[in-house]
Amino acid sequence: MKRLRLFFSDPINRRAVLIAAGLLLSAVSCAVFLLYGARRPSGELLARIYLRGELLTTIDLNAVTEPRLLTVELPEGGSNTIRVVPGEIAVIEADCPDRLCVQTGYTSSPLCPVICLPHGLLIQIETDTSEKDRPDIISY
Amino acid sequence: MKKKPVSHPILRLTALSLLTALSLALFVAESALPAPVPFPGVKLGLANIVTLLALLFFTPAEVFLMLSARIFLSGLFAGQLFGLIYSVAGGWFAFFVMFFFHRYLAGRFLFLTSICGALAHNAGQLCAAALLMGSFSVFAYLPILFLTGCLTGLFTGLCAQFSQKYLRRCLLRFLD
Repeated sequence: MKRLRLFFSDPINRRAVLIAAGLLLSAVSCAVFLLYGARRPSGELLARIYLRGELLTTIDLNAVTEPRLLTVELPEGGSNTIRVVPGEIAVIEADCPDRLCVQTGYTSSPLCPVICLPHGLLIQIETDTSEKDRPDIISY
Repeated sequence: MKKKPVSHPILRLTALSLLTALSLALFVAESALPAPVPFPGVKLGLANIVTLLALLFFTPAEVFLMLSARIFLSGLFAGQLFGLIYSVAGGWFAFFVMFFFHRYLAGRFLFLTSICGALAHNAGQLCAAALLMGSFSVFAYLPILFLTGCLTGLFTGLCAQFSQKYLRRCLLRFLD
């Protein structure tokens, strides 16, 4: 207690505590904003499912309330099972040779489409506020 | 904490050049490391350790010159002269904020000065980005840049605080 009073008797220490408290408060509010505020779905998050370049269907991922499955069948055999959950979409089952589409996992970003090359399947995400989700620069 | 430039100007110039070289080396070494958070604009800012140390031992004008030299040379090293606008905006704003807090805290609590500097660096870069793009949507990055700025600023500040007692001895050889 005595040591604490000694610490706070120095104006520099008081200033430091003030600054640290301000920083901590702002950091916590930022963390809370990031965890809860930004997670809210804003606008539409459209998933367009293409098979061989033809648009099969469009799903608004933010309008999805409970998970559901849909299956894409190829005319000559072969299928991909797509799972839609609120805000995200993935291919969870496929009988293509490399199964890269399954390994891609869930996506919600226009920067990360799900592609199954052997079956010619493409799931592309689009947002109405896609400005900030577009890559600034692509370099190779 | 203000030190009057009593020592020979050439000695001070040499010490500042050495610090510039040190910060450039840190800058290049850092660009070889993977980013701590895979997010554009987030990096440790190891070169800021040298700026903090310079604030302890040199006059503000000298630190400003050293920082400017480091920014322009690192722009050349990184090979992106366009990124220089961001570096200058962030670096100079960070310098003024760190100078203020360094005075305000009488040269103590270097890690707080460092955190404020890191935050100012991020804020300066965001403002430059907003001006260049002509839109304020970049400020959406503010929360995450604030959090990472606190962490990286704390790291570099502690690095400076721990290394200053070793560097003090060899720097004071130049300065006294």
